[in-house]
Amino acid sequence: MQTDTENQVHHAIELLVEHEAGEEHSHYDRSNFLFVEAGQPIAKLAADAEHLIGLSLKNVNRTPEGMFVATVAGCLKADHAHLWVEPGLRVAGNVDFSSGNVEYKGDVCVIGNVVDLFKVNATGAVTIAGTIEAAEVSAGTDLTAKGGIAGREKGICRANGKLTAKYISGATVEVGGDVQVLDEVSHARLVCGGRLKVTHRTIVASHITANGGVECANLGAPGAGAKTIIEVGVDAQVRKLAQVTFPAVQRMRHKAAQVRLSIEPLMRDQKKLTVAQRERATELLYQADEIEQEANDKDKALRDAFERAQAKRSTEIVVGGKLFAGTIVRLGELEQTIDNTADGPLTITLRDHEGTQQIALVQTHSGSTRFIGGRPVRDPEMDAMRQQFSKAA
Amino acid sequence: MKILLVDDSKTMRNIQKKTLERLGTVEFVEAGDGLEALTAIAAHPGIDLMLVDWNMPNMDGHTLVCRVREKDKTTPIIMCTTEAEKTRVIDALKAGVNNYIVKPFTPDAMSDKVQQTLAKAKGAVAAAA
Repeated sequence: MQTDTENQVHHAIELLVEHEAGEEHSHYDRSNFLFVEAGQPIAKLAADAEHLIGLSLKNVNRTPEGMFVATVAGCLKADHAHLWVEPGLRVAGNVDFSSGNVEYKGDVCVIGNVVDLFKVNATGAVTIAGTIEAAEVSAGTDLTAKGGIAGREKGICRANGKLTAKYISGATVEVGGDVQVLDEVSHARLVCGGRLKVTHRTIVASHITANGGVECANLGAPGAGAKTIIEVGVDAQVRKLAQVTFPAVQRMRHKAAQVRLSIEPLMRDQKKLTVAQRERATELLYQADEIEQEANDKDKALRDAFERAQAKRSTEIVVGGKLFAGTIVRLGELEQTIDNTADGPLTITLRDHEGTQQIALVQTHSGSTRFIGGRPVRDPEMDAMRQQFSKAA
Repeated sequence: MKILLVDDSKTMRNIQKKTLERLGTVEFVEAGDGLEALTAIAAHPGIDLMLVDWNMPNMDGHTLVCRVREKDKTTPIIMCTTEAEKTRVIDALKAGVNNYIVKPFTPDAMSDKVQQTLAKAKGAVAAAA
């Protein structure tokens, strides 16, 4: 595929970097970017070009042999007067058929939108100046959606770090750190390892799981629409990890025990073992040990994730404006449906009352407290982690 | 640390490698018999420990230990073998091995023996200095 870079390149140089050939890609996968590594030769002087009048270089070195070498990893750019490598990838317009899907090791900045069905996947931070539509965006660190996320029930966004967005609508969003939304969260499934702040408007018709608590202007909506469920003090990503890890660890330990059991008769009277049996027994002992080690590593990874989540855990929901009836709140292991609309500012929290822990609505200014009870929520994975990993246990 | 593994079974060398990797950064040199081991020793100076099997084709582990000890009295050698008789252990010790592991062994048992042997060798070097 001919790219803009190749069409406009200075006449005196020949680019050495090409788009990946090989298997047929879909139109969505045809990237228009040339990615290079630091130290990679990217161009050479054309045979008939002794001079390079007016060609300016940035993040590129010219060797005495007439080679041009990238000094940083990034996106190769060239025009009639310049040859340069941008350390991060900047997409000047939309991520669409003109750019193809974006897969990048580093930071990505998209000046336009990420349109329906396209993907952006970066190991670093991702900034989308426009809107993320029914697309898929993954950031290795932070994700910023300046124009908002309008997923139309199909959009998926993931960030290992923080997420900042103008609004979130109709999308599935998984974030390891804090989430800050300026306007509204609606019709979304949002999982947040840190704290969710919706500073100006409402969380409505969404299922939120925020380990570090929630702050919002309004929560829920009047009338019987789609349910708003707010779950705080639970890290859904750790819960998901536990759902996979617990059975896997159990399987592995069972297998290790079975292997050890199979060698037991041999180990009881080692003097009678043949050479081949001795070799085989050593292999099996190692195999059992390796399985056990793998199980321990998985267990430790889960414990570490649980402890990190516990450090950020908060079971408080702060509502600045209105808390609407019908909203379902889950704080730790208790759940309740809000029976009456209440004016804020108020905090929904856990308090001891008449010998039991209950969900309480505490008015910020007056300090008056209304207890609304709470039914226990069954959460086997979180319970198991608390039992196994809590420092007190 | 550089460790020479001498065993005709690649599976056994892999087991030894993976077990010893848990002890820290280790560079491994491998040989499938005694002759290969002598070549490897010449090609890779500065080996810190040798793990040697007894029964191997071309040159067995006992002969290898004798050949190594003609020139090198200090590099620790552990015989790691299916030969469990007391007489064999004594023969190996006389030939110059520093420690002896009988198969079957657990990874922990092997790690312990290796650490013991290295600590003892380090102590001997310090005492000599």
